[in-house]
Amino acid sequence: MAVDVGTVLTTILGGGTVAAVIGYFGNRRKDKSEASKNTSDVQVATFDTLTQMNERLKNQLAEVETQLDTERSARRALEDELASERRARRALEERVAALERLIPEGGTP
Amino acid sequence: MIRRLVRHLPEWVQAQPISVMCVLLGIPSGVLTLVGPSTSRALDTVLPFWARPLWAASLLLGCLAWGAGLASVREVDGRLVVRRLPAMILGLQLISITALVYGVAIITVGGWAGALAAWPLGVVAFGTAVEQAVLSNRRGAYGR
Repeated sequence: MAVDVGTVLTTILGGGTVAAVIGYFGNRRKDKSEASKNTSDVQVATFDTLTQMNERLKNQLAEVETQLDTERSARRALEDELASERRARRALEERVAALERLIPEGGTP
Repeated sequence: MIRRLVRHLPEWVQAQPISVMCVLLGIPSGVLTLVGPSTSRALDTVLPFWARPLWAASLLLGCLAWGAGLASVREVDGRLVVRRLPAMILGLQLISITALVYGVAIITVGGWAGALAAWPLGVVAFGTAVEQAVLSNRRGAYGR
């Protein structure tokens, strides 16, 4: 009984080990040929399925659009502030001009 | 205390501590059985004399390959990515085979009395077989 089991176990051990090592070298060869096809070594992202990739791109697009909206509203606020500053400057210039008109040349008002 | 210590461990160890623990368990057994000072009565009884070094070499190679695969794990975009997938699959396959052989040898020699000792080996054999199959399928899904 023990001899039979030993033979079976030895066969499993030897066969399994050889198969695993052969599989390893096969996988490595595939990896290398795959890597040589890729000209860029920069990994941008990883995906399991196209659906997952699509979802991720949609999320990224939504994030970029939100950021763009925020930037636009900030720009609008800055433009409003600039316009109010210009109005204040114009008002000041008009006031200075009015004061200058009141003062006669070379004398006191 | 342990939480502070854990922060100093490499990222790949923090991500998969149980797998690293299994690798560390197997390496001394493989080395000692291969070199000679440690023997297993079950393996000595059941396997032919030349198969025991083969078992030990398979266990050691499996642990080293699995460890190499685990050390290559990095977090990319919130997901754990194995960079040395072939090594990881090889290690899992070898550990599965050696655990199965050892477990069956224990039951063969000890009968039902050895079932308790063989049970963890059976669980490890099944778990590693499932994990390597999952990784192989995922690899196939990438078209490699």
